[in-house]
Amino acid sequence: MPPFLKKILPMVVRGRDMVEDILDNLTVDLMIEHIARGHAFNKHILGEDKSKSMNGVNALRAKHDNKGRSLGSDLKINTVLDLKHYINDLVDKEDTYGFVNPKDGSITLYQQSDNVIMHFNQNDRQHDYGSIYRYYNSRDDFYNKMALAQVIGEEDMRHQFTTLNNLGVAEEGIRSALSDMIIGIKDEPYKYTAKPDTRVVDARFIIALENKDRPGRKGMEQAPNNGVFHSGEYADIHERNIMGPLSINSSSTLSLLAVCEIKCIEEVEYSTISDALREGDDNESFEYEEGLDLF
Amino acid sequence: MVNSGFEFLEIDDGLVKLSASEKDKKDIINFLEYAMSENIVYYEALVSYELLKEVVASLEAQKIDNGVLSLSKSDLWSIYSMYDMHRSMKDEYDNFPEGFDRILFPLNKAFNAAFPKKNTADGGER
Repeated sequence: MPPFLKKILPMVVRGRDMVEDILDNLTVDLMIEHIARGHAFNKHILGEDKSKSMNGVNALRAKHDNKGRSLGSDLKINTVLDLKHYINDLVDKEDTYGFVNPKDGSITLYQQSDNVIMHFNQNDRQHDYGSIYRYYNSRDDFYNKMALAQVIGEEDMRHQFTTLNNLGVAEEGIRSALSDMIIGIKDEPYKYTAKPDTRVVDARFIIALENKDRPGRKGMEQAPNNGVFHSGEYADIHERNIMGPLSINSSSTLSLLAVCEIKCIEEVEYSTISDALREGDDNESFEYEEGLDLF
Repeated sequence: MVNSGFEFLEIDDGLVKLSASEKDKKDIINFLEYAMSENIVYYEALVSYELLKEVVASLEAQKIDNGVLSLSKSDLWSIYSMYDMHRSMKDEYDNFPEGFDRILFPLNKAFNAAFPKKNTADGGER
């Protein structure tokens, strides 16, 4: 095994266990909190969207974009907590509709009255479980996406295309579908990865480590954008699982771990570390040493 | 075959054939890479970053054979989905890759041939 891998392997192994713990505790509410604290807040509430029509615009407060096109009503969302509460409402509203993506089981929703689109997705590139946004053409965007999802070829399908709404009993509503998705992620994770042959455990590990803004990390006791503390449930899980097992006291070290993992994928044979991950749990020679010089 | 511009030709043995030049292929790759890097829209609602990287790699590896670009239905779906999602965004960015419409319309024709519309009843209702 290359010396580089030997050095980082103990942390990678512990990181994998950490991610398993996070997913074991995942709930709809926690997934919503991830999204509310994820990239969508900066891009769509703080107005960091690079598009000309939405740059500088709080997409969920402004009634019009920079070109004067209607967005919808003022949803009075300024903070992460506002956004989390709003998403919880959105999921249960009568005029929220959605569908299950047959490729990866992710869920896309459209809130008709507010003209808001949402995505719940385990494996998105931003590693924050999804997004929420609003453009002048959100309605068309939603129905276009649904039409595309509906014709996905059978060879790419790992789920049935399913439409979602809250018009019937709660057990068949959108929140229930989200719960089912989380159960599915835990029970049959390979069906919810980006592509069928993704190494599930490794993908999860990268997801957790790459999300530098994920709540619960040291230095993130306060949310970055509004100073509101994490929910107790959220902070408890992430504080314990991220800071405890790894015994690491800085978010930069965790970021470094992510870099290590990415370097492994790009520069070293991926199978080498993957095999080691599967076998390395009880290998005493790979015990992590505090302050280990990685490079 | 002499390339007469980017056009849908046929579906043959499960592969979608388009008349194309190396420049057409390069324009598609440039657009996909730009859209992925800029994260213009939340495309991952439908197609993952990881999968798109593979599609790009597959395009890069393919030599235009006698003026024909061959795509699997799966790759066509991924590429067209990206183009379709970005239809309304091309005027929003100063450095949006060139040739978007020139590629989009033949892709749309190929997509409609490869993926005939289903009735809503084909999907489950929840």
